[in-house]
Amino acid sequence: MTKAGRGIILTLIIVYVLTVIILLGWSFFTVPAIRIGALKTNWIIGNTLENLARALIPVHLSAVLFSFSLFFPFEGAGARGRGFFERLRFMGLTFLILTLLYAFLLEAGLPPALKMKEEAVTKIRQADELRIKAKDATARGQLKEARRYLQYALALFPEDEELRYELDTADRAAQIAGQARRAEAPAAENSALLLNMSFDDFLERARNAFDREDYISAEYYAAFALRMNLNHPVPKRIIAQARTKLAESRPSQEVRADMDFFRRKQAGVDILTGGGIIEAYRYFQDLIEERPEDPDVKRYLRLAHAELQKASFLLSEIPLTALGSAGTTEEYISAEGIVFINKSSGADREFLYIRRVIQTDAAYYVLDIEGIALAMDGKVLYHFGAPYGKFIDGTLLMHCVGDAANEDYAPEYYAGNPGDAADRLSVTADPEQLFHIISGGRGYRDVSLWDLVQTAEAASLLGVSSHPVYMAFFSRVFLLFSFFVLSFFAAAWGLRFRSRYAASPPVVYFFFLPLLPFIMILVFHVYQYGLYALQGFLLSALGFFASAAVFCAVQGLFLFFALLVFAKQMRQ
Amino acid sequence: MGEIRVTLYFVKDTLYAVVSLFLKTAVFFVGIMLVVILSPVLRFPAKPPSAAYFLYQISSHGGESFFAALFLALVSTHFRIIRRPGKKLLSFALVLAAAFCILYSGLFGLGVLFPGPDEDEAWAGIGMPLEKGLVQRAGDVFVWIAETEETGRAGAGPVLVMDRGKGAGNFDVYAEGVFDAKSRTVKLSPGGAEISLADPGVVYISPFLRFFIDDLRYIRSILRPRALLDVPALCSVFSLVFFGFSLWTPAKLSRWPLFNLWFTLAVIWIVFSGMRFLGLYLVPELVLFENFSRVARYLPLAFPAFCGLLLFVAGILGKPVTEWKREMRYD
Repeated sequence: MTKAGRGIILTLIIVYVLTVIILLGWSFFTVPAIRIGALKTNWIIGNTLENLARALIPVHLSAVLFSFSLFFPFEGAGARGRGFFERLRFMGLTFLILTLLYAFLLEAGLPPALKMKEEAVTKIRQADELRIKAKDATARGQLKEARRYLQYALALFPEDEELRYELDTADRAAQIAGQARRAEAPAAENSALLLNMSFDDFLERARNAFDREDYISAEYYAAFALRMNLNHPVPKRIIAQARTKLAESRPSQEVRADMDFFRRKQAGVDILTGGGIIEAYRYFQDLIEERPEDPDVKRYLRLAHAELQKASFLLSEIPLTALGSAGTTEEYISAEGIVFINKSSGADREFLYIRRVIQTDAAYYVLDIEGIALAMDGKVLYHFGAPYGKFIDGTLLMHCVGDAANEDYAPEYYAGNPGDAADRLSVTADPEQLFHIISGGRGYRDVSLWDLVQTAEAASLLGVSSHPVYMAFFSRVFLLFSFFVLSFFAAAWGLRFRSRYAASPPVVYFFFLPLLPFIMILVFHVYQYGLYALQGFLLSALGFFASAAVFCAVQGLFLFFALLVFAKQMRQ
Repeated sequence: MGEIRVTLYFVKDTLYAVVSLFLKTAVFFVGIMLVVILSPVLRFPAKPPSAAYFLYQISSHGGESFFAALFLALVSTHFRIIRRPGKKLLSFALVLAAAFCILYSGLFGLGVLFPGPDEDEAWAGIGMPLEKGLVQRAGDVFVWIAETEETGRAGAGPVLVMDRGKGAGNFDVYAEGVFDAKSRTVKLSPGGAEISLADPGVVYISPFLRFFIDDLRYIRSILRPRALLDVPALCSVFSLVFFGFSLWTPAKLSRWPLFNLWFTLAVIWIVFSGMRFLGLYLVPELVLFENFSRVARYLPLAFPAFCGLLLFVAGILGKPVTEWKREMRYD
């Protein structure tokens, strides 16, 4: 590499490093009121990378202009000579490598950086909300609920001493309340009822329990055995003998409580096997509240949950802060507000409104759904609303079950009713693409280029304008092309405005150097805005593929023109 | 023969500066206006806009676009004049006169030919036709029209409206709707309710560009010739053109043309922002003082003249153009 080449590369590196340092400093001093150190770092890094991606082109162009106006050797290098092509190769290679690095920053570095920044802000907002809710729950005497909020908040910010103190206080209060409860209802003896046990297994357990004079368990297991074989005499006999023994023994208060609990477990199983899945789920939830360590109850609760999820989902699956009441503590992101055409069948259309989509690692949930199906003459075929929904394999399940007995949320039909499948809806949209469309306000910066094209196609199918998605696509591609093409322009104009000083220009001029990037930012943004407007118009008038072809042709022309200017300067 | 050649060079290198100023102003103006006219498609898709829409955009943004175009042309012409041969003094004097005439007559002409939207509210909100078959959104309201015409009645198909603010059962179906492209409103029937689709979103403009556009808008707001011979407007235009004329000083400041260019552009930006700062922040404070109240309001317009004078004197006292050209090897 020539001395001039080294000077240019060194200038670029110094400018990049200085830019990163300045942007880091800027982020450090403009960081919002974030209390926690770890997230502050996340925000600063995210904000720095975001600003770097935004400012890099003008800063890079300033550096190219500056370095080519000072270092580039032009003596004895004609446009047709070897010198021209050698310099062109050097420039082409350098700019191509830098463009690829910029592409890497945009596509691989920026999305996680933006996520880090957003997470920092979201977590703080969530923690504040949780703290308020915890205070509210404490005031209502719901200590368990308050602890849950505080635990979640502390999971978000493990180093927050204030939160830890609040949780400790709630813990102490809950302990005192728990002790009082335990004094009234003694702990249960563990039992070991296993699902999928055979008649013989139950009978064996009943016999063993009877032999060790555990008449409560003996009756409990014998009852299960009897349910499996109603005609078998042994379980009947064990039940009768166990009841007799219990009647003779005048059981203590503790034993009576155990007996009662066992009977309630049996009742729960009866409900479950009788098809009352939601009732059984709630029933076992009550039981597990009472005796959290009881393995039978745990197992039946799991079974009830599994059955329940085939036809509905739990309110508690939805993230806590998104819901505003009891929910999971899973992290999530959300997007708000869309109406789209879910189905088109002949002249009929089915429209769906979703107020909020929540994306967790496990699934996509939606809040406030409203659907309407219209015939072409305006006749309403059906119209419904549902408070909650969950995307499962191309369907939107709208039957949601809460913890309380009255919390059973199903779609309410204001007009018409499709019948059996009233609580589930086939949805043509992929929830991920739907989420991208709704969250378009963020500029699609966290969506990959390929996903953007797919999202645009999905938007068209859903009767939503794909224009903003395609514009986001072009704006991303535009940045990459601009980085490469404008580098040649900057090099050519740097050469044109080269220094005529025999040595370096006077030092005083370099004090004004910081003005150059600001001028370039303005010039670049004018260029960017102008081309965006033109591209938007072409997209509207010609469609995506034709406008993409024009876009490439225009960029090619720009590159050709830049090379012409460069060649002209080399000749001079 | 020799005389003819001298005359040709005189025409080419001296008078052509004025022609260049004309041409560049026209090209920049057309370019800027094209961007202004097309800019709504950044917010929502559109078909080729109507002639009324063109006129509306010219009446709304023509003034500041024209001013920006002329200033860009002026800077470009300066760099040309000092690099090329020709009678410098005459070139600069002709460019000053031409720039003054072009700017004043241009601003006056725009005001006469395209009355501003504040004077004729009927211009306001001329927009684009609706996209057929798509769900439109305006704030909390979503609208779907089965069949649309660009203006007028929305066919026989139904109109579906979703208003998020209404509570449960937000969807409403109407028999038909009339879309008005000018106001971008849909009048629904039965009932006669009107829904505005005028604000489909905000175009993101970078803070730097927004700041600069605001500067230009402010300058345009104080540069409004009310008549063909409006003396305050004449003085205002002259003040700005004189500042533009004085930019030949930074254009030949050093033997490093890149520095000269970025320094010149920075001076322009600082003076424009300074005018807005004076006009919006300092003058309202100064008019509270009795002694300053009469003078203060002229400060924003005196500022470019003052800066121009400083640059002009510095240019006279500084290195002559001929010597600078020799050092730059332009001869």
